[in-house]
Amino acid sequence: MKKSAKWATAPNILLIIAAAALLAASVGVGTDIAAKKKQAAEEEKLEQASLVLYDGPKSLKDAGAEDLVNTSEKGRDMSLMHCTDTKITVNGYDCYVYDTNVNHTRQWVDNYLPPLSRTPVAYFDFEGAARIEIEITSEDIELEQVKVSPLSRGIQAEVDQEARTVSFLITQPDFYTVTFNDAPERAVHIFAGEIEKDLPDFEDDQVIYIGPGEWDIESIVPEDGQTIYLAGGAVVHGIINANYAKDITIRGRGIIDGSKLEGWKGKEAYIPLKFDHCSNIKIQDVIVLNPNAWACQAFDSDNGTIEGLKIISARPNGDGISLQSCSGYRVADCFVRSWDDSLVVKNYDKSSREIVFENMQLWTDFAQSMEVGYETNKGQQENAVIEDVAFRNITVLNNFHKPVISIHNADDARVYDITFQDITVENAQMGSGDGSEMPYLIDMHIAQSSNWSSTKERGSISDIIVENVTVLSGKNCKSRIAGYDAAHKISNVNISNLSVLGKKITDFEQGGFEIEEETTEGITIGG
Amino acid sequence: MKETAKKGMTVTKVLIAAAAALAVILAALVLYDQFGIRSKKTVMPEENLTRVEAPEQTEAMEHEAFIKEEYVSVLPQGENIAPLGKIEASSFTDVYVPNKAVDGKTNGPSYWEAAKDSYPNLLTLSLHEPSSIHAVRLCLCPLKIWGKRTQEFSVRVSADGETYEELFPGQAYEFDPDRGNEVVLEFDARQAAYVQLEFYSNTGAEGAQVAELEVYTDK
Repeated sequence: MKKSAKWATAPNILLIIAAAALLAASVGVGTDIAAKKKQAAEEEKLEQASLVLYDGPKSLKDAGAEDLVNTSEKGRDMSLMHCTDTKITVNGYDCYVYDTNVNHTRQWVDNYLPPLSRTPVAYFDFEGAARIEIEITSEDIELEQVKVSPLSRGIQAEVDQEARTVSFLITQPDFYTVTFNDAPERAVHIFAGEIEKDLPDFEDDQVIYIGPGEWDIESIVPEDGQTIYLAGGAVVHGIINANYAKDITIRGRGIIDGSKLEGWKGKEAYIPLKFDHCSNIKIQDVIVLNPNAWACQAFDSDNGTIEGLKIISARPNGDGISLQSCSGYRVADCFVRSWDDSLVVKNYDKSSREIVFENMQLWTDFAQSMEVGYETNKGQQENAVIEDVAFRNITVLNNFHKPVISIHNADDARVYDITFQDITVENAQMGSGDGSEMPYLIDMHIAQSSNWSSTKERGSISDIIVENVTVLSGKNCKSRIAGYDAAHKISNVNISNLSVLGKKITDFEQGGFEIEEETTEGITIGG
Repeated sequence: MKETAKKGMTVTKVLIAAAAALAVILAALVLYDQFGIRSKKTVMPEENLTRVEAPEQTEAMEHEAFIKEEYVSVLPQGENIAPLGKIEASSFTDVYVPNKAVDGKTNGPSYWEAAKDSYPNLLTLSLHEPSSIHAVRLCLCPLKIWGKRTQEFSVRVSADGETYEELFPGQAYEFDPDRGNEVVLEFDARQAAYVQLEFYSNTGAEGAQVAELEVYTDK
């Protein structure tokens, strides 16, 4: 006591305070220097950056307050519009923002007329770095919490409450989605692509060039060997479909928009990208907005590639990418926001095999994110199978309704060798609305369904790998594994490295798994 | 005394350390300010920007690559008596039953399609009464979305449904939506009670397809 009291003289205390202040200042300046260095490096990148911006068609209407009302397609102008309440600049230059339809309803609507909303969408290409600044002019959106997805990029946006701006720097091409206050309304989708290389030869008769501007083209039916090129800035109202064709490429930065078509209501579906009985079809980079039903279909087709496709659907049965009885398909680097299954593999005729989905971003407003089934033998073929299907490196930004990962076998096919690997769910909200009947993260089920079954006999599910699945936020979700009966089981399912809301799931009880013992075998879970 | 000296030395050490720290900070600040570590407000040079401009337009345009010459279908002379007869096929698929080939409709799902991979496919029309006929017209849905296709078929007629006379031997015919998606075959008038088409291939489906079969009489 005495000794310390002697040390505590005024000059000593002052010296200690001064030293502490100097130390703090040193650390502060050091940190500041580090930050400034980082900023300087970024700015150097910006100085050397290249940017391609695409003006939208001048004929598109400016979206007004009346267009943003949440109501069915019967009571609203469904057109693709120019967004006015969200402005975007990239590296200081104005970037055109579209306003397209989305759907926040979480339940099926029998008359096919759910209320629809709108959301901003922009795209550009760059190399090096891009500083994105979003100005939100609508007072309806508070800028309290701002999230930039994918979260794996670790982007912390700078928010200026007074200027009502959100800004951040990107250095990698990707799909960026900015959400406000953890709500899906008016989320801003930004498709930041690589600068386009290896352009097709536009002098070639087999290449059809559709330039910038708004185009009414009822239907495009490409012939063997043709390339349909939609330039950035193009908006095509129409569909591109082929039947019994081969060696076709659909590419470019342009938009295929279905907003001039009335919703299909179970009758007339005009699928923007539909390739049936085809081979060697390549779809690359185009954007599909607001189809009148589902967005992209391949049926009885083989050796296809879908890369960089961006889809936002709003209307009923608005599945994203639906591969029906296909084989040899690679789907990669796509963004799908859909009002029905985002990715789906099913058998309407022959068997499906050798299908890979990888490096995808999904936002599933309704139904399942990654679905195999329900129809596994609608064509009632002998020995139908769905085999060798993989979903790898998939980020699910939001999953609002039914399971994220699902295999539903409602027919007699043998479904096996299916892999779900490196799946990140940023926001798990399964079970919203009438999704409460299937509020699962993982769902494997052999079912007899009045809606989906075409065969009397039931099938099987086996040899399934679910590996490295992480749920970052949302609900503490359940999972289900249930076969049909002792003769139609789910077997050999290996689940490993599953993490939900920060907790490693090492046993089924902890993970909320409902496993039907008498209809399953060889189901394991591990760290 | 010893203790005071010790204290004095400690204070000196602290002061020296503080001075050294200050010197380092000042040096850092000088470097930071003078030698360019400090950030400059920079933007991307305009020459690095490519802006793809939109054309002047107030409404959606038509694209020249997809504008087709207007095609007006010229029907054979006389009356189409096919809807009065009875039609049968060797097979059909799904809901595409043979009656749809004589229901007067060509749009949507109103067509006959044979079962897949079941060639040759027969489509046989029994006329309501023996008639003098001089043309047959085969149609598919005229919408562009159907796409061009080629079907190979032959046409024959019969008085009794057993012995047939070949009018057109098997050959490939193109069905093109830009040309009405139709094939018209005219011939010297002859008496017939049956008209039969035999299909051998179709590049647009796995079985023969006919949205409408028309048979013309002079009556």
